[in-house]
Parts: sequence; structure tokens; C-alpha cells
Amino acid sequence: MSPHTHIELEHAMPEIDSGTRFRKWVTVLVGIAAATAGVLAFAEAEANRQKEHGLVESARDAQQIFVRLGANTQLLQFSGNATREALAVTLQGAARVRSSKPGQPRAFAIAVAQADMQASARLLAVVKQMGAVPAHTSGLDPRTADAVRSSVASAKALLAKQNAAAEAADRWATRQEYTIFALGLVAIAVALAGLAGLMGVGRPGRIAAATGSIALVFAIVWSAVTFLT
Amino acid sequence: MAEAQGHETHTSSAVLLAVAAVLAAGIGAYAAAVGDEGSDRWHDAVRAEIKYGAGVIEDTRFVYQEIAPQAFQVISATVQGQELSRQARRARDPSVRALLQGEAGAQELLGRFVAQRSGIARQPQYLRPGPTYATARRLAAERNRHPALVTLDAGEVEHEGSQLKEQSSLLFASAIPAAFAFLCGALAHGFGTWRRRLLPLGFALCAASLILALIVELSF
Repeated sequence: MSPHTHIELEHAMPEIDSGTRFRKWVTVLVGIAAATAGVLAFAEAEANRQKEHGLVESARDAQQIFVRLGANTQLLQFSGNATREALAVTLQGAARVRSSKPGQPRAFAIAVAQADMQASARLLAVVKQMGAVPAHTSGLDPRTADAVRSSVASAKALLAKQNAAAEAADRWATRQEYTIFALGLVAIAVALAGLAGLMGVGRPGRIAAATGSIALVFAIVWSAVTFLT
Repeated sequence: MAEAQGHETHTSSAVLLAVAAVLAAGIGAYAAAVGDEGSDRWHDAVRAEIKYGAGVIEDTRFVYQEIAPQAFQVISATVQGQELSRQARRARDPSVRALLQGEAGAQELLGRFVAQRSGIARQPQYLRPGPTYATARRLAAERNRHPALVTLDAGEVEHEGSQLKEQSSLLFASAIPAAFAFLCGALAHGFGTWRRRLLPLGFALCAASLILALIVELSF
């Protein structure tokens, strides 16, 4: 045999086959664990990104719902109060006529009632004008205009969006937590592989390597199920 | 010589493992820092949304609960005064006319008093002929008293955070080839027959990882 020919140790010495196979086992375990850790780190980062995005969207949508309801309520409250005041003006005139006694100037009561009725109609129109917020009011930022003009129906649509964002955040949070657990299993697998390497071929080493392999396979299956369901 | 070659190959495996580990750790650390910055921007977006919303609520409350009712009171008295004056002009009985004129004068005076005491008179540009009151324009003026609050754009801040978070995720993804390079290094150590193919592949994966990370960094 030429001294330059490269030969594998296991081919030259068949009696150490088991030791070589054990070494291969451990190196495969460590290598796959490292590759799995790389993929899981990305999966965890992505799950965290989606979860945080869902939470941020959910928080912003919730805030917008309250602002829209709050801003619109101010306008509705003013319009309601002003409408009641305008209607009360008519009632005041009518009451004055009905309560006028003989000897009192009935013509005056009728004239005041007519004036009140005309004033009431004009005031109702004023309430409508004052309560209007055109979509493009000069100087008013569109988001404030939208908030004041919003309705319960539009808030419902935003509420559906907020709920969807919260549910997405919840789903991705579960995936992130499961991925962290899988990363923990990978770390255990690597530690057991290192321990198996130190123990060497033999019963304790094989038990450590087998346990590490099971942990690694479980981590991979667990992660796959988590992201595919 | 074969021993020397084997030693050199084992050293190459160790170098590959070290390079892959350092590269993956480095890219991972940078990706984590970028992701953290993205999270900060997202939290800023929520803060901006709350601040903006608080401004909207306070300004609408002030305009529709403080200003508008007072303006309506002024308009109500003025309109009632105008209608009473009209009835006074139509009245044939002098005593009724005098009473109506007195009532009209009282209403008009009430309107002026309320306008002066409430401050509505100090900003006559919102009182319009009719009379009516430009409430929406008054709200715009109130909002624009604090332009920094109006220009707060939580959506834009959130977008900045989203960009950073996407960059972070892609950086983590670009570390995956380095993790597979580590797998090549480990297999090269355990499987001598594949070593000559695995080592170049491992170094190529390391280079790919680095290039991908640089592309991601330059793209954002």
C-alpha cells in the first residue's frame, strides 16, 4: 500500500467501527442541533414580530375607537341639548298663549308665540349648521374631522379590525412561546451531545446521545406542528 | 504526510465551526439590536396615538361643551330678539308694539351680555350672518393652537418600526446559512469521506450568510 493513499480509519480497523459510528452520531446530532437552532431563532424572531405588530395594531385601534366615540359624543351631546333648547322656545310661546288670563294682553301673548315659533324654526336650522363638520373643513386635520363625524357603525368596523389584530397577536404569541420551548429542547440536545462526546462510546454515552436525539427530534416535530397548524 | 493532511483538514473543520458560530452569533446579535429598536418605535407609535387622541378629545370637549353652547345661547337670544322686533313692526296696537319692542330689546341685550361675558364677542370671526356660528372652523383653530399634537402621525412611526422589525427578521434569516455551515463543519469532522465536499460548502454557506446580511442591511 502506498504511504500516500488516504484511507479511513474504520476501513483499516474494523474493530473500532462502533466507536466511529458513535462519533458520527454525535457530530450529526450537534450539526443538526446547530442548524435547527438557526432556523428556530429566525422562527422565534418572526413570531415575536408578528405578535408585537398585532399588539400595537390592537392598542392603536382600541385607542381610535375610544377617541372616535368620545369626539362624536361631544358633538351629539351639544346637538341634542341645543335641539331641546330650540324646541323649548316654541313650547314657551304656546304656553304663554294658553295661560293668558282675561284682562291680560292676549294679542301680545299671540305675537310672542308667533315670534317664538319662527325663532324656534330658525334655531333648529342653526343647530344643524353648528353640528355639521364638512369632510374638508379649512384648517381642520382630516383625522379630527373623521373622529368627530364618526358613528357607531364605523366604530364597529374598527372594532372588528381591532379584534382580528388581538387574535393574531394571541396566535403568534403561542407560536413564539412554543418556539422558545423548542429552542430549550435544542439546547438540551446539544448539552447531551457534548456529554455523550465526553463519556465516549459505551452505555452512558449512548444513553446521553439517544436522549439528546429524542429531544432534538421532538423539538423539530413540535416546531413544525406549531407553525403548520 | 497523510497525518499532516488529516491534521490540516481537522483544523479546517475547527476553523469552519468557529467562523460559522461567530458569524451566526454576530448576525443574531445585530438582528436582535435592530429588532429592539423596531419594538421601541412601535411603542412610540402607541404613545403617539394616545397623545393625539387625548388632544382630539380635549379640543372637541372644549369646543362642543364650552364654546358652542355659549355661542348658541347668544344666537338664540339674538334670533328671538329679531323675531320679536318683526312682530313689533306688524303690531297695530301701540301698547302691544311697545311690549314687544321691550321684549325684543331685552333678548338682544341678553345676547350681547352673553357674548361679552363668555368671550364669544372676542372672536367675532366665527359668528356668521344668519346668525350662526362656524363651530367646525372654531374646532380647527383650537386644534391648530398646538400644531405638534396635530402633526403626530402614529401610523408613520409604526411604519418605521415595521421596517426595522422586518429588517431584523431578515437578518435572522440570513444567519440560517451560517447555522447550516456549522452543520457542514460538524459532519466534516464526523464523516471523513465527505470532508472535501463539506468544508468548501460550509465556507460557501458562511460567505452566503455574510453577503445576505449585508444585502439586508443595505436594502433598508
